Amino acid sequence: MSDEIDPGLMRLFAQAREPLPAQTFLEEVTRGLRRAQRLRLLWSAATLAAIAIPALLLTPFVVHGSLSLAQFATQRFGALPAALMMPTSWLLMMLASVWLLYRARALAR
Amino acid sequence: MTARLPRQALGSAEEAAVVALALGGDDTAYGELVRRRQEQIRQLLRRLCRDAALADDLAQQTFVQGWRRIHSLKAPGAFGAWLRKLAVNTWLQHARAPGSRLERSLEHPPPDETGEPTLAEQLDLDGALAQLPVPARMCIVLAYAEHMSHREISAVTALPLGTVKSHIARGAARLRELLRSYGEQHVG
Repeated sequence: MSDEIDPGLMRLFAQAREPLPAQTFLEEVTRGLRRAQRLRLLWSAATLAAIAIPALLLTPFVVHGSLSLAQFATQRFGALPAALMMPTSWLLMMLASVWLLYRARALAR
Repeated sequence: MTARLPRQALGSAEEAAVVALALGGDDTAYGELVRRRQEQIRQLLRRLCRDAALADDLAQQTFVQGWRRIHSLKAPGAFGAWLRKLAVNTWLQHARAPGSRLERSLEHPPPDETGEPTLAEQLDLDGALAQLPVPARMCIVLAYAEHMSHREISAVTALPLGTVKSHIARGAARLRELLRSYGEQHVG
């Protein structure tokens, strides 16, 4: 080792090292960890609430907006939007998607 | 979900395996790591602080921080070095805080609760260490108590290697000077 180390000081540090009783310390750490776990749980619940509550409040407006848009599209473009929502149209679109993926080799391993 | 090991199996498992379980969110595994590493971290902080109660407070903070940040650990095998770095940073944060207990304890060292001087106090090592400037004390403790190389100390403390070497050389010379009264038979 190229680091300069004084063997006398090294011996002194080794002598000063004494065994420490662990029981009380471990109990304290366990208490601290439980507190931290509770805080993390509270924080997760608060974050979830901060996302879920606005989402619940906004849902009626979003649904209403989507329905209005669908109604507008039906009036504006006639039978096309209704035709796109038929099961036969879904099936054709799915087949077209699979063909596109196959052509793009996205399904190849 | 991580597989959980019974407490007995945890006690005899390789540290890297226990760390891997803790990384997966197993709190019992993290508890086992605390049990294994508490002595080392407390000893390190005692040498740095001089105040046993404060050292244990900082060690507790280190382990709680470790639990919070364990996901930032890159490799299970590096847990020991990572935890030591966390302990040094916890101590540095405390040392830099204005009016910290550490600064007060350096001016007026607290009496030991039992009234009995500890072994380190008998050797006057902690008293001498407390008289070194904070960066020098940190480098000396990491080199002599933790047996870290100068390069490792540079990585842990983010100090340039040349500065670490200089702190250790000057710090050791100052320590020898301070400990001269203790006796030539023990030092130098």
